Amino acid sequence: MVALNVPLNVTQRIQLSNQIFSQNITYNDSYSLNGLQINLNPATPNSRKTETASVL
Amino acid sequence: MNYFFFRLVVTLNGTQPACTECQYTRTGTCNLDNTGCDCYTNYTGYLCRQVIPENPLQSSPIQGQNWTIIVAVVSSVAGLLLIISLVMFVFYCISKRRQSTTITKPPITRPQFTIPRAHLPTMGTVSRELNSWDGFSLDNTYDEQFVDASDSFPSSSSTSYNTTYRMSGNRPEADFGIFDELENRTPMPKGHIPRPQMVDMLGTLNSFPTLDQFDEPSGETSVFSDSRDLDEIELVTDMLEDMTKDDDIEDEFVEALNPNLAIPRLSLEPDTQSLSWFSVCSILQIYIFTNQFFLF
Repeated sequence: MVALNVPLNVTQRIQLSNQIFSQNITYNDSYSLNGLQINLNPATPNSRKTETASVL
Repeated sequence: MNYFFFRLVVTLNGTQPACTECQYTRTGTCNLDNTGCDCYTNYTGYLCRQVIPENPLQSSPIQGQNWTIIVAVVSSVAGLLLIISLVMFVFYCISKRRQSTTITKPPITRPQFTIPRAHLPTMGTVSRELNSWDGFSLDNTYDEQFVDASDSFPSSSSTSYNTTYRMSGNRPEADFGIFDELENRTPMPKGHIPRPQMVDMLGTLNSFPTLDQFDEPSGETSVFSDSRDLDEIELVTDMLEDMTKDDDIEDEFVEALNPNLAIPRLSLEPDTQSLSWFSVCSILQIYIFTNQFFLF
């Protein structure tokens, strides 16, 4: 699980997830990217500092 | 799938089309080819990012109604005040016109009061022609045109006032010896009243109607015909006369002599200067109270 301390809106979160999938970002070669869990609730304020993105 | 209850957590397995933005923001749905979004109501633009502004009156109808109510109330109050003022003005004009046409007030005539000119009395023995102006005398030669006949003194009247002060002529010398005599007179001892004065006063008091004069005119004998009461009065009178010899007798002693008397006293002790007068007044009150007592 990787915690990002960056305020993002829904559009930016989708772009972030797409870049993670496109670049196949992994911690090392022992890991493979199967899925990404991200909060896409638009009601979440942008000022929220902590967003959680877990890498499965 | 959702790890958090209050969060819209989605699991992404790959890249997402851009139209998923409108799905997650709930402003529209992806179209068939996922190239765009079919926007919901009040949303438009690319990926339904623009919000159609709503009509402010439709959005807040209650606020608009409040404004209309306020405007209506204010206008009605203003109109009511205007109508009232107009009506009052009309009534005022009508009443004023009626007063001017019907009532003709007589001109206000106020009586003029004049103060009569003071007329100085003249000596009856001195004729008016002899009053020549000598610079110090009051000339009333021309007073006739100002003097009312009611308050003027005839020339033959003689008054005790000599209003004409003459510098010339035989002027009798003023005799101020009486003042010197009064000043040189030895002061009276405190607490003593001259006996002749007191005797005269008691004589005046004794000259009051006696009990015999209170008899009924019909000849009936009144209740005051008791000779014993008359003797008591004479006794009190003599006693008072004896007391005048020495006025230092205390009031308590006077009351002790006659228990029927009650001499009124001041709360404060009178000073020694007014003691003699207070004693005289006390004696008078004693006699009067005695008479009243016998009358009752």
